[in-house]
Amino acid sequence: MKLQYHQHQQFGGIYIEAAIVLPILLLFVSGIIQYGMYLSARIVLENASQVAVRTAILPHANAQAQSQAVQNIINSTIVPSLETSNVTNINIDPNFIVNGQAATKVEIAYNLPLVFANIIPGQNGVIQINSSAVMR
Amino acid sequence: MYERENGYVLIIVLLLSAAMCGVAAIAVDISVALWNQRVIHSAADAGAQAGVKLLGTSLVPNTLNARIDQEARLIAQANNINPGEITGVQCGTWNTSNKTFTPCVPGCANCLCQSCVGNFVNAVNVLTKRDVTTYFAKIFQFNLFNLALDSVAVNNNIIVSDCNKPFGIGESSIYNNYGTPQESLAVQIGSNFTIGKGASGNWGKIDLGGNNSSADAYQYNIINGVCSAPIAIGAPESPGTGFAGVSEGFKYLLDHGLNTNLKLVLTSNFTNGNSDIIIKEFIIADFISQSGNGNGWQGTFKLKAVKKDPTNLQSYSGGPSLLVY
Repeated sequence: MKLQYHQHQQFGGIYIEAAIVLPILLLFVSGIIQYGMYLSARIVLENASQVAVRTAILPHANAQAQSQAVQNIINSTIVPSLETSNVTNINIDPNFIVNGQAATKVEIAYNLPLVFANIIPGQNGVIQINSSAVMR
Repeated sequence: MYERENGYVLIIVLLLSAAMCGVAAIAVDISVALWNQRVIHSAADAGAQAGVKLLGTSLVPNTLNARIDQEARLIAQANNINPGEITGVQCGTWNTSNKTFTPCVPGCANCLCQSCVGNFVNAVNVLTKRDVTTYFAKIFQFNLFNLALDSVAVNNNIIVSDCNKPFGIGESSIYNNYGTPQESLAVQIGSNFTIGKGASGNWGKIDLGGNNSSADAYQYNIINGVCSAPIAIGAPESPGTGFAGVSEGFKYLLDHGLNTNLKLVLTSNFTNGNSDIIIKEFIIADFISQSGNGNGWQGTFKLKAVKKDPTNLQSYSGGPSLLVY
């Protein structure tokens, strides 16, 4: 009887300990996963903005052709890591001044959906990532 | 006996947590380092790209290095990198065969260093570094990632120039009795002629729009041409001084297949000393071969076109357009 009592007490203890520890562990793991995804997205977008501005400074027939070329290259650069539909803004500034002379700047805004939206701080389940690059 | 097993889960979880901290250190800190590496790489790329573009322009050669250095640093800084993180800007030669960059000798005054002669400057290298502080890895006494990388931008088109070569040919090399009623071509279009040889002053280095006759500047301009100087028929120009760099410059043209349709200046005969020569007209010629060097240099050209009016040369079929006159 004494043995049975102790076994029940131990199993209950395990559940209680697990109940305390598991949420913390899950929070920790989900935080790592989410932060990893965030950093991965930033690297992809950094690369995309670099490639985009390189495309932007090439000769184009007009501003529309330039814009289309930049959008195409961004789309092809971020897929498959990111969703093209989450790109909220692409801005091409051909008159960005560096040392008194015009350079071209491309800015990309991307809404990264949060997998753990209720744990990680963000607005409406997304974090906006901005990336830019300048070339002359 | 069983009572002593209470808290086992907690202990295991604590041990696992420590292991997970290690994983976090690797995952998060390396990710942050990779992102920073991407940032400085982008900055280096942009800087090198901006710098190498200047290699093809008509900047005064002696100021070229400073301008390339400044341009590369400014554009790199516009891409989220601090001035102190740009550790160097180098001009040099990119070898397309073995894909290596050879910088000019450190401290040389411009991008036309002697060490690059024969392998002319066609690339700019931007070197960057960034120290990235770790977050989790500090637990394991690993506090810093020392990132360093460089980016080379190559301009393969810098040699193809429509500008005039700072190389003049004395009128008697082509004409009989130039400027007289008996004026006639001694060298027919499509024929070869040889110039050079002899004492200083009777051969063709000229200063177009400034000092284009010093060794480094001359070699640069014989390859790239002089684009910005005002050159006009009848204008007096100074002959270049010294012989250094002629054979190296023309060798480069030959080695790289850039020896055709050169825009050259036909002048009054060169005289000994440094008295002015007069630009008579413009010619287009292919450079065929050379022998000797220094005072004994001799070059053979093939005459392609002769026009007094430089504007007419613009319509020369297959030839370069004239940008300066």
